[in-house]
Parts: sequence; C-alpha cells; structure tokens
Amino acid sequence: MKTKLLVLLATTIVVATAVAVRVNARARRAASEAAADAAETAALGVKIGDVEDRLRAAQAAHSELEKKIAALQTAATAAEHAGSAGQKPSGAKRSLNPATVIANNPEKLAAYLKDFRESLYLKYGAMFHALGLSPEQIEKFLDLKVWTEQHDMDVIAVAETKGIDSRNPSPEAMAAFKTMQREEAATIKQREADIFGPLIDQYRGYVQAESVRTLVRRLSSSEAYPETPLTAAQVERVTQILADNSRRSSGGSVVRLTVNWANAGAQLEGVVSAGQLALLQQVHRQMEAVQSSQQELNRALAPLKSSMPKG
Amino acid sequence: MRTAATVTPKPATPVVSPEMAAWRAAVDNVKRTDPQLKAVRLQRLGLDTREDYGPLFKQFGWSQEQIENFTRFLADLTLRARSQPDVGIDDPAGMTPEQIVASVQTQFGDDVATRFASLQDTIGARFIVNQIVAQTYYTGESFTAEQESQLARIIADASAQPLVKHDIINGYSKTDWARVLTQAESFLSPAQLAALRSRAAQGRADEQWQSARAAGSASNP
Repeated sequence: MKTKLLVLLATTIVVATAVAVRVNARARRAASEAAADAAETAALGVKIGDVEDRLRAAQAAHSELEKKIAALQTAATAAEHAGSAGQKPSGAKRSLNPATVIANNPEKLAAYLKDFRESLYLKYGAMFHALGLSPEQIEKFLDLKVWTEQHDMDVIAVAETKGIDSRNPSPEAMAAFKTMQREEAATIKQREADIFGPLIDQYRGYVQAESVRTLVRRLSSSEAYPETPLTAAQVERVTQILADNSRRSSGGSVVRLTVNWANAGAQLEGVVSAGQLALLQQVHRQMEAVQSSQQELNRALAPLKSSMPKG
Repeated sequence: MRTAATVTPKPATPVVSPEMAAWRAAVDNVKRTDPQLKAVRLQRLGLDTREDYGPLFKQFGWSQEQIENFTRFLADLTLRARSQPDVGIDDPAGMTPEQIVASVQTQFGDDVATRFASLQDTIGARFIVNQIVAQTYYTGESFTAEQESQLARIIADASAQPLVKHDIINGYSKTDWARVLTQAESFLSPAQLAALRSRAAQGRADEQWQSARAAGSASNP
C-alpha cells in the first residue's frame, strides 16, 4: 500500500512539475485553490502573493514556479497523508477541485482546453513574433502547453479520487518531490529545445526577462498613458536595458523590482523620452508598492497568527 | 452607474464561530490602524489612482500638484472606507460608487465628478482592455485611446455585474464575450479582433473554471 501510494505521489509530482514551469492562468488558479483550502491563510487574509501583483508578474516564470510548487505540494502531501490514513479523514468537509470536475467530464474538458488553447495566442503572441517562430513551431508550443494543462488536471483528479485533502509534507514526500521536479524540468527543457531548435537560447532569454517586459509593455496603452505609448521596438529595447540592470536569479531569470535606475536611466536616454522614463519609474514604484503592502500586511498580522481559533 | 448592491459576489463565506469572528475583527482592526501598513497602502492607492484615472487628469490638464491632491484625496477616502489592503480602489467596500462620486463632486466639482464616474464605472473593463493592449504592442496596429475607451464601454455593458480587478485576476468575472466580439467588429482591425478573441477565450475558460468550482463545492459539501 505504501509503495503504491508513493508511486501515486511520484506520478503526481512528475506531472505537477511539468506544469510548474508554465506561465498561465491555471497556475494562478491552482495557487488560489491552495490558498482557499488553507484556512489559516484565508482567515488572515494573506493570500499567496498579492493578487494584483500576481497578475502583473504573470509572465515571471520563476515566481509562477514557486506558486505552482506550493499548490501541488499540498496535493502531493495530501496524497501521502490520506494514503497513510487509508481513507478520507472522518468527518472532513472537502470540495472537489475544479480541475477534477472538468477533467472527469469529457465534454467539459474538451470545451475548456479549446478555450485554454485559444487564450494562449494573446499570452504568447509577442514571444512568437519576437522569435519569428514558424506556424509549425507555434502549434507545437501550444500543444505542449495544452498537454501540460490537461495532465495537471488529470493528476489533481486522480489524486482527489484517492482521497487527497491535507497538508504537512512528510520528509519522504518532499524528497520525492524534489527528485521528480528535477527530472521533469529536464524533460520540459528537452521538449522546448526540440520545438525551438537554434532559437532556444533566445526563447530562454525572452522568458527570463519577462518580469521587466511585463512592466514595460504596460506603457503601450494610449488610454492609460495618453502622452507616451511605447512602440514595439521601444518595449523590446527598454526591456533589454532594464533586464541588463537588474539582479538575476541563480537560474538566470530577472528578479522582479531590482532595477538599478541610476545605471538604467543613463542607458535609456535616447531610447525613451524623459516623460516615458518617468512613467516607467512610476509603474515600477506602483509594483513595489503592491509588494510592500503585502509585506507590511504580513508583518502587522504576524502577532495574531498564533491566536487564531481552530476550525 | 451600478450600485453597491450589485457588487460581484464572492464564493460563499462559511459560517464562523464567535471566537473566529472576534479574531477576524481583531485582524480587521490591525488592518485599519497599523500606521506602517496604512502608509504603504496610501502610497499604493495613490499610484493606482494615477493609472486608473490618468484620462481624467489628461482631460482637465491638471498640474502635478492637482494630481497629487486628487490622488491623496481618493486614497484617503478609500482607505477610510475599507479594511482590505490587497485590492485596489475599484472595489470600495463600505461605500457605494455613488457615495464616492458624491465625495468627488463636493471636493472637485460637477465636471470632474462626471468624468470620474464614467471612469469608475469602466475601471475593471479598462483593466481587461489594458491587458489586451499590453500584450499586442508588437502587432503594429496599436489601439487608439478612443478604441480602448469604446471597447471598455462594451465590455462593461456586457458584464452583468461590475468588473473589479481582483475578480478578473482570479477568474471570477463574467462577461458576455460573444456580445463583445460582435459589437467590436465594427471598430477593431482584424489583428485587434484576433487579440480580443483570445482574451475572450480566456474569459470563457475562467468562467468554466468558476462553474466547476461551484459544482465541486456542491458535489462534496
């Protein structure tokens, strides 16, 4: 029984990790679901990251990876926990994950995946354009995204069928998770290499700079910023400059909100106007404020955490 | 103008014990009174206001000082009205939209209040439009300010309940996307329409997810 459950757990983790590197709405939803299930978190009003911040960083692969891992750790751990108990905890009230509801209904699944796939054109269109992908490459890329989406949902559905609904990862679950995470990341990396071919470095560079591109492209709205909408060429050039003047994670991704404006400002002269630069800095401050407000909220509520009533 | 009575319903809140209710009240009190938290919330709300109401500032040709004055006023007003620090000024719990407009009218006059009300009414829809615009900068077919404004109006009108940012982000918003697409055909280019179709697909996927969430709760209460 234990072995079987570990196999289930491992399978869960394998597919979960494939999903983890995706940057899509499902990742956000999974994180939200995890948050919703965490009574303490919900009661504190402390969500998994600030929702608006999450949207603005939606293309930041590193951040999304962390969220997805957190969400699926809960599921994987729950599988272990429920397995050791042999059944769903007595008296437990638990809702089914939306993924389970959709995945268990072929018609719903088909409709959902159709819309999911179509939504990816907006999300990744700029990347397709910047890299000059062929129609075949685009289709393969979308196939990969849809495949990971469906498998993620399948894993959740299978796990819930087995009675998953708990927390507190065991050491062996965590160890299995990390191992499978590394293996699956390698698999995804290989599939992306197959799709992008000689463009793979460009693709990875593009993705790694996504956190600053998210900031920059907001200024392309002529309604929100009527004086100074950025052109496409400006978006890419400014993104590169800001990325070059930001900290990088060990994996190479640009760390959000770490722009050295003193250096970047000088390099941006001649690329953007003074007004555009001021707006870039304003949007940057806005994103910092989102982050700061969440941090301050966590600090202010920390003393109350231990006194939260049970149940 | 929509009323507070039609504010987007969130997932049902479970009944809580008196102990939990008291604890939550303590949490709310901290949220309202912690000075450091208040300071960063004011800063954030001010910056949000600059973005959300930029067209108003442009229309009236306001100086930086006037803009500062308005953003401070609105952030203060919003902060007094609500305790949730993790959402923007588009979801003013504790005040109806009319009350906020009335406050703006008292402070800044009729013309500003009228424009403010118009922007406030479409704030969530404009957030969606900005999502689309921000993702299509490469197409060479930029949206004009008028197109953005028109599309926002259509999206707002095709949504039975007010659209607010955090609901949109979390996939809780509902919009009649078929209606939006039909109406947008008359003023968007093919590339812009393609982008809108993709965003509509995301909206539909979100709604399917929302329905599944409700079904999941109902099937295993």
